[in-house]
Amino acid sequence: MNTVAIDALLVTTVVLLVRSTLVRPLRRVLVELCGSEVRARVWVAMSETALATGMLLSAAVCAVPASSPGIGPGRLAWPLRGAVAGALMGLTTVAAVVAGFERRRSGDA
Amino acid sequence: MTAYWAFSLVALVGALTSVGLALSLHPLLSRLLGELCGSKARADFWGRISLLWIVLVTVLAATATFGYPDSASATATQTFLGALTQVRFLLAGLLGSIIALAVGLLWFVRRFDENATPPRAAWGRRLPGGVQQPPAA
Repeated sequence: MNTVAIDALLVTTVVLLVRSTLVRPLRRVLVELCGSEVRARVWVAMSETALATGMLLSAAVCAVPASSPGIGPGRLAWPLRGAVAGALMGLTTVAAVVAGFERRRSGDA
Repeated sequence: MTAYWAFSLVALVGALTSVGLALSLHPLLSRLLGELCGSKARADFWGRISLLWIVLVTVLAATATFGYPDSASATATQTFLGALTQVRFLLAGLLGSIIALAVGLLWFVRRFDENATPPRAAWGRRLPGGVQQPPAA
Protein backbone atom coordinates (compact mmCIF):
# COMPACT_ATOMS: atom_id res chain seq x y z
CA MET A 1 0.00 0.00 0.00
CA ASN A 2 1.48 3.37 -0.88
CA THR A 3 1.64 6.36 1.43
CA VAL A 4 -1.16 8.24 -0.37
CA ALA A 5 -3.63 5.46 0.47
CA ILE A 6 -2.43 5.30 4.09
CA ASP A 7 -2.75 9.07 4.36
CA ALA A 8 -6.26 9.05 2.90
CA LEU A 9 -7.22 6.37 5.44
CA LEU A 10 -5.70 8.27 8.38
CA VAL A 11 -7.27 11.60 7.40
CA THR A 12 -10.68 9.95 6.93
CA THR A 13 -10.32 8.34 10.36
CA VAL A 14 -9.60 11.72 11.99
CA VAL A 15 -12.57 13.35 10.23
CA LEU A 16 -14.93 10.52 11.26
CA LEU A 17 -13.59 10.46 14.84
CA VAL A 18 -14.19 14.18 15.32
CA ARG A 19 -17.60 14.01 13.66
CA SER A 20 -18.84 11.02 15.64
CA THR A 21 -17.59 12.42 18.96
CA LEU A 22 -18.95 15.93 18.54
CA VAL A 23 -22.19 15.83 16.56
CA ARG A 24 -24.61 14.43 19.17
CA PRO A 25 -23.56 16.69 22.09
CA LEU A 26 -23.42 19.67 19.72
CA ARG A 27 -26.96 18.99 18.56
CA ARG A 28 -28.25 18.73 22.14
CA VAL A 29 -26.54 21.93 23.27
CA LEU A 30 -27.76 23.78 20.18
CA VAL A 31 -31.34 22.60 20.72
CA GLU A 32 -31.08 24.10 24.19
CA LEU A 33 -29.52 27.33 22.95
CA CYS A 34 -31.50 27.85 19.74
CA GLY A 35 -34.80 26.84 21.27
CA SER A 36 -35.96 24.58 18.44
CA GLU A 37 -34.87 21.31 16.85
CA VAL A 38 -35.17 22.73 13.31
CA ARG A 39 -32.73 25.59 13.93
CA ALA A 40 -30.32 23.31 15.77
CA ARG A 41 -30.29 20.85 12.86
CA VAL A 42 -29.37 23.58 10.40
CA TRP A 43 -26.46 24.80 12.55
CA VAL A 44 -25.25 21.26 13.26
CA ALA A 45 -25.26 20.43 9.54
CA MET A 46 -23.37 23.64 8.77
CA SER A 47 -20.82 23.07 11.54
CA GLU A 48 -20.32 19.48 10.44
CA THR A 49 -19.73 20.47 6.83
CA ALA A 50 -17.39 23.32 7.78
CA LEU A 51 -15.40 21.09 10.15
CA ALA A 52 -14.98 18.27 7.62
CA THR A 53 -14.14 20.66 4.78
CA GLY A 54 -11.64 22.54 6.94
CA MET A 55 -9.89 19.34 7.98
CA LEU A 56 -9.70 18.04 4.41
CA LEU A 57 -8.45 21.40 3.14
CA SER A 58 -5.83 21.55 5.87
CA ALA A 59 -4.70 18.00 5.07
CA ALA A 60 -4.51 18.80 1.37
CA VAL A 61 -2.49 21.97 1.99
CA CYS A 62 -0.01 20.05 4.13
CA ALA A 63 0.37 17.11 1.73
CA VAL A 64 3.89 16.67 0.39
CA PRO A 65 4.30 16.07 -3.35
CA ALA A 66 5.39 12.51 -4.10
CA SER A 67 8.24 13.82 -6.26
CA SER A 68 9.95 15.73 -3.44
CA PRO A 69 13.29 14.19 -2.46
CA GLY A 70 13.89 12.14 0.74
CA ILE A 71 12.03 13.58 3.69
CA GLY A 72 11.71 10.41 5.76
CA PRO A 73 8.45 9.81 7.62
CA GLY A 74 7.38 13.41 6.95
CA ARG A 75 5.66 12.33 3.76
CA LEU A 76 3.38 10.08 5.81
CA ALA A 77 2.95 12.49 8.71
CA TRP A 78 2.22 15.88 7.19
CA PRO A 79 -1.29 15.28 5.79
CA LEU A 80 -2.28 13.67 9.10
CA ARG A 81 -0.82 16.59 11.03
CA GLY A 82 -2.68 18.95 8.71
CA ALA A 83 -5.99 17.18 9.37
CA VAL A 84 -5.39 17.19 13.13
CA ALA A 85 -4.41 20.87 13.12
CA GLY A 86 -7.52 21.64 11.05
CA ALA A 87 -9.64 19.67 13.53
CA LEU A 88 -8.16 21.62 16.44
CA MET A 89 -8.84 24.94 14.73
CA GLY A 90 -12.40 23.89 13.87
CA LEU A 91 -12.99 22.62 17.40
CA THR A 92 -11.71 25.87 18.89
CA THR A 93 -13.99 27.87 16.59
CA VAL A 94 -17.07 25.77 17.46
CA ALA A 95 -16.23 26.01 21.20
CA ALA A 96 -15.75 29.80 20.98
CA VAL A 97 -19.05 30.27 19.12
CA VAL A 98 -20.99 28.09 21.59
CA ALA A 99 -19.32 29.82 24.58
CA GLY A 100 -20.21 33.24 23.15
CA PHE A 101 -23.77 32.13 22.52
CA GLU A 102 -24.06 30.70 26.05
CA ARG A 103 -22.71 33.92 27.53
CA ARG A 104 -25.18 36.02 25.53
CA ARG A 105 -28.04 33.77 26.59
CA SER A 106 -27.08 33.93 30.26
CA GLY A 107 -26.73 37.72 29.91
CA ASP A 108 -30.24 38.00 28.46
CA ALA A 109 -31.76 35.78 31.18
CA MET B 1 13.61 -1.01 11.99
CA THR B 2 13.11 1.68 9.36
CA ALA B 3 12.28 5.27 10.21
CA TYR B 4 8.74 4.74 8.89
CA TRP B 5 8.05 1.88 11.28
CA ALA B 6 9.57 3.66 14.28
CA PHE B 7 7.55 6.77 13.50
CA SER B 8 4.30 4.80 13.07
CA LEU B 9 4.88 2.86 16.30
CA VAL B 10 5.48 5.97 18.43
CA ALA B 11 2.54 7.79 16.81
CA LEU B 12 0.27 4.81 17.52
CA VAL B 13 1.46 4.62 21.15
CA GLY B 14 0.80 8.36 21.48
CA ALA B 15 -2.71 8.07 20.04
CA LEU B 16 -3.58 5.12 22.30
CA THR B 17 -2.13 6.83 25.40
CA SER B 18 -4.12 10.00 24.75
CA VAL B 19 -7.35 8.08 24.16
CA GLY B 20 -6.76 6.08 27.39
CA LEU B 21 -6.05 9.22 29.38
CA ALA B 22 -9.05 11.07 27.93
CA LEU B 23 -11.36 8.14 28.67
CA SER B 24 -10.06 7.80 32.24
CA LEU B 25 -10.60 11.53 32.85
CA HIS B 26 -14.00 11.66 31.16
CA PRO B 27 -16.20 10.45 34.08
CA LEU B 28 -14.54 12.85 36.52
CA LEU B 29 -14.79 15.74 34.08
CA SER B 30 -18.43 14.95 33.34
CA ARG B 31 -19.33 15.14 37.03
CA LEU B 32 -17.49 18.43 37.52
CA LEU B 33 -18.89 19.96 34.33
CA GLY B 34 -22.40 18.81 35.26
CA GLU B 35 -22.06 20.83 38.44
CA LEU B 36 -20.57 23.87 36.70
CA CYS B 37 -22.63 24.04 33.51
CA GLY B 38 -26.02 23.49 35.07
CA SER B 39 -27.42 21.27 32.32
CA LYS B 40 -26.60 17.79 31.05
CA ALA B 41 -26.46 18.88 27.40
CA ARG B 42 -23.88 21.61 28.05
CA ALA B 43 -21.81 19.41 30.33
CA ASP B 44 -21.77 16.67 27.71
CA PHE B 45 -20.75 19.10 24.97
CA TRP B 46 -17.86 20.59 26.96
CA GLY B 47 -16.81 17.11 28.12
CA ARG B 48 -16.54 15.98 24.50
CA ILE B 49 -14.63 19.13 23.55
CA SER B 50 -12.14 18.42 26.37
CA LEU B 51 -11.80 14.80 25.31
CA LEU B 52 -11.13 15.73 21.68
CA TRP B 53 -8.73 18.46 22.79
CA ILE B 54 -6.53 16.00 24.72
CA VAL B 55 -6.52 13.43 21.90
CA LEU B 56 -5.93 15.87 19.03
CA VAL B 57 -3.17 17.90 20.72
CA THR B 58 -1.36 14.71 21.72
CA VAL B 59 -1.67 13.20 18.24
CA LEU B 60 -0.41 16.44 16.70
CA ALA B 61 2.61 16.37 19.01
CA ALA B 62 3.15 12.62 18.60
CA THR B 63 3.43 12.92 14.82
CA ALA B 64 6.34 15.36 14.94
CA THR B 65 9.00 14.24 12.47
CA PHE B 66 11.85 16.47 13.62
CA GLY B 67 14.97 14.47 14.28
CA TYR B 68 14.32 11.75 11.72
CA PRO B 69 16.85 11.49 8.91
CA ASP B 70 15.99 10.79 5.27
CA SER B 71 14.81 7.20 5.29
CA ALA B 72 17.20 6.27 2.49
CA SER B 73 20.34 7.08 4.47
CA ALA B 74 19.17 6.35 8.04
CA THR B 75 21.29 4.35 10.48
CA ALA B 76 19.77 2.56 13.49
CA THR B 77 21.15 5.19 15.87
CA GLN B 78 19.69 8.05 13.85
CA THR B 79 16.31 6.32 13.75
CA PHE B 80 16.46 5.74 17.52
CA LEU B 81 17.31 9.40 18.15
CA GLY B 82 14.48 10.48 15.85
CA ALA B 83 12.05 8.24 17.75
CA LEU B 84 13.34 9.64 21.05
CA THR B 85 12.65 13.19 19.86
CA GLN B 86 9.18 12.09 18.80
CA VAL B 87 8.54 10.60 22.28
CA ARG B 88 9.65 13.89 23.84
CA PHE B 89 7.16 15.78 21.69
CA LEU B 90 4.47 13.24 22.57
CA LEU B 91 5.00 13.73 26.31
CA ALA B 92 5.15 17.51 25.94
CA GLY B 93 1.88 17.46 24.00
CA LEU B 94 0.18 15.25 26.57
CA LEU B 95 1.36 17.43 29.43
CA GLY B 96 0.53 20.64 27.58
CA SER B 97 -3.02 19.53 26.77
CA ILE B 98 -3.67 18.49 30.40
CA ILE B 99 -2.23 21.75 31.78
CA ALA B 100 -4.27 23.85 29.32
CA LEU B 101 -7.40 21.94 30.31
CA ALA B 102 -6.63 22.37 34.02
CA VAL B 103 -6.09 26.13 33.59
CA GLY B 104 -9.40 26.43 31.71
CA LEU B 105 -11.22 24.44 34.39
CA LEU B 106 -9.65 26.52 37.17
CA TRP B 107 -10.82 29.71 35.48
CA PHE B 108 -14.30 28.27 35.03
CA VAL B 109 -14.52 27.04 38.66
CA ARG B 110 -13.34 30.41 39.91
CA ARG B 111 -15.96 32.25 37.89
CA PHE B 112 -18.63 29.81 39.10
CA ASP B 113 -17.58 30.31 42.74
CA GLU B 114 -17.57 34.09 42.34
CA ASN B 115 -21.11 34.02 40.95
CA ALA B 116 -22.26 31.70 43.75
CA THR B 117 -20.59 33.59 46.62
CA PRO B 118 -22.89 35.91 48.58
CA PRO B 119 -21.97 39.59 48.24
CA ARG B 120 -19.92 41.19 50.96
CA ALA B 121 -21.04 44.08 53.13
CA ALA B 122 -19.19 47.39 52.92
CA TRP B 123 -16.90 46.47 55.85
CA GLY B 124 -16.05 43.12 54.30
CA ARG B 125 -18.15 40.82 56.50
CA ARG B 126 -20.11 38.22 54.58
CA LEU B 127 -23.83 38.42 55.24
CA PRO B 128 -25.98 35.29 55.67
CA GLY B 129 -28.04 34.32 52.63
CA GLY B 130 -26.27 36.77 50.37
CA VAL B 131 -28.46 39.72 51.47
CA GLN B 132 -26.64 43.01 51.07
CA GLN B 133 -27.15 45.18 54.14
CA PRO B 134 -28.02 48.74 53.09
CA PRO B 135 -25.44 51.35 54.05
CA ALA B 136 -26.15 53.28 57.25
CA ALA B 137 -27.77 56.65 56.65
